[in-house]
Amino acid sequence: MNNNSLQPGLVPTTLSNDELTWEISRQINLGLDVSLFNERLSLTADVYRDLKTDLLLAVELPAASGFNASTQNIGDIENRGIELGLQTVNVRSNQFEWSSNIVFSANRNEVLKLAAEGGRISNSAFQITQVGDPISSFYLLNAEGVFENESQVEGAALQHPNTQAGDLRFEDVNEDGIINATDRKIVGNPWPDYNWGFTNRFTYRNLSLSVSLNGAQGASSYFRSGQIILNSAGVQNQLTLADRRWRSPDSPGDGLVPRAIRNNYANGFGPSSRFLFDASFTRIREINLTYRLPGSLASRLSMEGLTVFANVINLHTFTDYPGFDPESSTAGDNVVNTGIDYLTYPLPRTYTFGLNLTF
Amino acid sequence: MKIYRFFVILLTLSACDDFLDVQPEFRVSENNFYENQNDFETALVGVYATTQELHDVTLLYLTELSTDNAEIQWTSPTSSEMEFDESNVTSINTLINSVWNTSYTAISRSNNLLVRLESSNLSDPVRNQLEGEARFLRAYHYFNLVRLFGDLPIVTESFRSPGEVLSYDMSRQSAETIYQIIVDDLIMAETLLVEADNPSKSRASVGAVKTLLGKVHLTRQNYAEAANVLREVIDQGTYSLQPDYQTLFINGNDDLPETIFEIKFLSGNLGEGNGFSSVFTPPRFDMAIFPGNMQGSGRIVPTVDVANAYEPGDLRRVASVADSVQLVDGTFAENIYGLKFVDFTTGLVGDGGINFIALRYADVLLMYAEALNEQGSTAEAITYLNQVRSRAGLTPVNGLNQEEFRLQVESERRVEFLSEGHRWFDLVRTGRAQTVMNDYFASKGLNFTLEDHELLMPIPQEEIDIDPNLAQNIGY
Repeated sequence: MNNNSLQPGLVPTTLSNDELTWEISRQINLGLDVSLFNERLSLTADVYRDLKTDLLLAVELPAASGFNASTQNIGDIENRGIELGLQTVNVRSNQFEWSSNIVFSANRNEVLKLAAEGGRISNSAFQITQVGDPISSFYLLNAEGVFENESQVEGAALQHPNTQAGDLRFEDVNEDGIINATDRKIVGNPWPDYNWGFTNRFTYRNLSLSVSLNGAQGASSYFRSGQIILNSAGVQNQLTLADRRWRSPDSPGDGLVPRAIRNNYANGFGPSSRFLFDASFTRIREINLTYRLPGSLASRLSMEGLTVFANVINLHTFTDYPGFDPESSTAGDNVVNTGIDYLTYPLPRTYTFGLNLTF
Repeated sequence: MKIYRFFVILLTLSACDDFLDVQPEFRVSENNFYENQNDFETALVGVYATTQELHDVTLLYLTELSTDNAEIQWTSPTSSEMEFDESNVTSINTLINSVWNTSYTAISRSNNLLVRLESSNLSDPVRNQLEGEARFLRAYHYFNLVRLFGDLPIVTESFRSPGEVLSYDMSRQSAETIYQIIVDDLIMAETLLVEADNPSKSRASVGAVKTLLGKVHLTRQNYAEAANVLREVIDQGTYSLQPDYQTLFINGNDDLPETIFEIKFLSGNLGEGNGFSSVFTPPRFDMAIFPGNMQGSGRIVPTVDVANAYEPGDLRRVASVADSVQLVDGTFAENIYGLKFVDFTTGLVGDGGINFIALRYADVLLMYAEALNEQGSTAEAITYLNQVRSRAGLTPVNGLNQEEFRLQVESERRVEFLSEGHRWFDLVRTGRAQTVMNDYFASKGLNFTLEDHELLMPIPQEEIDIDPNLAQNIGY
């Protein structure tokens, strides 16, 4: 055979599972639709409970098995929540109309049963799924802040003997005086307490303006990019948040961002709740301004219609989240890794100007 | 013949209802694979491909950067890389995880092949060859793992469903048991394989099996057995030292007389190149040693300490370590970097085409010398050591006592095998790791230490998270 030929190889990458069955979903919905005052006010409300049994989930396997993960019917999970929608026409006159649309939803998720050992599976280095908690909860060392001075380091449970002032102080969950992987605990989950949307639409004669806001409260997001752009360790450009770092006992920063150090022995930029941030936000999602030429004018220009509009999507987001986008999740819709933000692209702001001619 | 990676997904699907029992057409199913010799050959290539993946730099972090042979020049290394440079490896180190995963992947693929071979209807010679190679590869990977991590989960069968995985005992078994599997596999492989007239060095051969077995015995301090099997490799007469040391590490190093087992790489942007070229060379934007002035990354670069460890006149020095680097303006800047396996013909990162030599004859000679010396035959051992010295252009040593000889072998191996992934294993095997490393750190004025428990690497935390029954090594 030729010495420099490519030799194709085949490898097994996916484990079969003959025992796989459909996921079963039992759902109860209570709905209410009300329309009042000549449809000036309409309300829809839903209360639901969704019990999924034989939940299908990609479960990580030991490397010694030769496979990364397999899809299994792993347990039971419950979702409960409410969804509300309120549409109102606040003002309606000959030339002016103002209408609003409010949506609100809240969901609670709980794992009821898991067929895994100890009722717990590891999703990744950052998340676990365990009975009694929401699916894909963050499971990390809990960084309580930084040691502001040497006297605080004295006698504290340490991750490394060389830990000094300016390094992170972790919670000693099992109280054994040492900080290690056994001190991880559930420190949050990627699921918001509630989501909301609020759209107002104003129409004056041929001019209309609509403004849409939306937001979510209570979700956490693991800003994994921070292990690089918030580590104060090397030459990578850092977020301005790194400016709030501990510098000396006299200049301790915000008490949360550890000192600048190349070395990671004190776990300054390894996985910990230091990079877990509140991902609550309020966003001006869309503003649209449209002018429609009156029909008489349009027909004088031998047209059926002419519309001019300006539109902006994602104008601004109000949030304390340090990453580009509090909603971003590197894994997309994959539930197992939801809420990990690792070098995801920012959401673009889009301006659109348009002219719509109909002949 | 070259062995390369080529991924296709194999999947087994078998549903209960007939109308659903459809074989997927867009991927290969294991149910209709393993029919003929070609299928098995293809699966075997899959195991070699994983071995190639392991050697494409990753393993060198654990075996070179962790020692006094190498350091990081890059200004912005990852924390996982730094941990090796500073002898402070933690269980969340991603490189540890990668070596663990890749090695077990290779083991699992060997297992799969071996299980499928049992029920195959291939002719005996074909089956023996395949089985011999798969057993060699399984032993090869278990040997790396057991030296790095100690006790290990043992898997020798092939899983068909997650249920089988979950009910399997994946707790760590004693290193003793692992070594028994390794030795059994190698002895079996030795009887199964037939030495070809013109063997490809990228595939397991009788010589490779015996060399590995010799290394296993030496590691276990079974010196008589080590000497016996290494003697057989020498007596085989098919291997010899390259007259020119440098030819082992430059373009065209295919199937050389000195090579016993090599990992093939191929340049040309085919996805089959290696990363040595950038990893071993300076992280400078202003250097002009590669086409297109490709920049190095300086992740695993020889230390001043090892550069100074070569005796005057040692021909290996110039083939292994460069002292200065040519810059784009034509001048040279003082900057130590590694030369072995660095492919100066390609300007693409990760596209080096020079093969990595995993086992070679000089190693056999030095291991044999070590085994003889440990049995008290120091005078005879010296002659084998001197063969290696002579090729390096050095004068023979003589009149050493057993203890002096140990240190002589240690320094000889250090310079002979720089950048080849031996140093960590050598130091741990001889019980010298802590002395050497802590002296080295002290000489550099660094406040790092290699502690007792750090002679074994930590079990990856991710694996413990997946299986809480997997115990961590003491001290981590």
